[in-house]
Amino acid sequence: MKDVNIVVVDDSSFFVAMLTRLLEEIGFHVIGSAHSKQEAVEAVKALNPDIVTMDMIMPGTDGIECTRAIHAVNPKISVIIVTSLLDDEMIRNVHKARVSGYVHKPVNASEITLLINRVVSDNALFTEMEECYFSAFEEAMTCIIIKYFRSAPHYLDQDNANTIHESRGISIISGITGKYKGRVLLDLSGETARRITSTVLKKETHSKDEIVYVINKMVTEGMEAACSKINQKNELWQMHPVPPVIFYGESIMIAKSDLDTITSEIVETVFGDIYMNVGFKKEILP
Amino acid sequence: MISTYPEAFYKSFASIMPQFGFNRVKLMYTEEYGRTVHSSDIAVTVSVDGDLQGNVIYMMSESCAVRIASAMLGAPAETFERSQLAITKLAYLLADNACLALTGLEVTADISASTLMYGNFAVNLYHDHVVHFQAELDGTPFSIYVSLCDK
Repeated sequence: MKDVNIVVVDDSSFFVAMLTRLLEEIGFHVIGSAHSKQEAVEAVKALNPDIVTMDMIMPGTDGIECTRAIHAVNPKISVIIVTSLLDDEMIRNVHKARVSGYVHKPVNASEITLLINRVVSDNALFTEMEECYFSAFEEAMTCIIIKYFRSAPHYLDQDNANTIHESRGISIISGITGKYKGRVLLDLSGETARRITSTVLKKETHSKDEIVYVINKMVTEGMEAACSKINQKNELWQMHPVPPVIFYGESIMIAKSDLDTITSEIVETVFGDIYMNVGFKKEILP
Repeated sequence: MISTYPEAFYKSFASIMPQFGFNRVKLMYTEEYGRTVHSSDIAVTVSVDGDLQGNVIYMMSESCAVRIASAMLGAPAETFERSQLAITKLAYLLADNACLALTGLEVTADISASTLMYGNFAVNLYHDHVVHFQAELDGTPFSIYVSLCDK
């Protein structure tokens, strides 16, 4: 396992020293400390740690607010709450703040070791998935397009931005369940969908039912192929596609998502462009 | 399909919304619905997979979304754009809680990420069997469409 770099945040210098000693004795690298929200933000900007341990109660702020401030700097930093007080409301807030876990004060060495190791391996597993998921969807899309269109697609404008998107007329959303929750969004114009359907059915059609039927079948087939490719890379992901829902109309906007990784691309086909957007959430707390 | 399964999604809504300060959560009616739903508002879709498979759609007006988001954030959301992320998370939370309740009935159900759409559109659900729960949240309409079938 790679070195784990940690920043310890606590308003008590005594507790910072105690936890630093404990973590270093275990074998982790404490690369900095902070005693307030501002110092915590400065520390993560300067040091870019893998993990921040966070005191829950600090003068003028709390661990939840500090976690949000840290995630505003870098959402990929994992935060572990260290607290002597944890009631039901606090647990709910901890979940909402995308905290990676919590341990009680006084900190038990085996408890924090187990938690840090879990967080690190979860992060590594997510990173591994992040590196391969989109190519699996591209490959599946290429296979489907060649099979039904007899012509290879071109991919343009790959992007990782989380933005509001205006639909071309038909949006297909297919959910993905498994270790990571995700979804695929395909967006195309009504005319592109009609031309695809006419080609697949080998007759000119304007029937909404036929268009929906053909698009559903193609998307389901593509999703199954893509998830199967991803699962072959790591069986822990256990991704399963769910049959899609299809939105259609003249005015459809797709909101920003709460996904942790997003990739989108324009798929250029002989029947017109298809916008493909795939993303996943990272489950923080089990 | 057993009617308890779609009901889990309404019950989740009815139990979670009061935690955000909504005191009057009321079921107005339930109906069997066709697979196409029309909307000129906001729809958030979540997929379900496991012993049951399908989709759940939560629909509400823009003003309802802003009210809910403000309650969730603990401060006025002011604009619909600021509310979108909160409502996306809410749909995920509601569906996740419903699936947890289904686990208690020995029905496994996992959910996907949620997606929020808005505008003027029709939604075609995958299964013919759709149950529509029409609710009110402090007097504001809120709809839940559950389209699930046994896998």
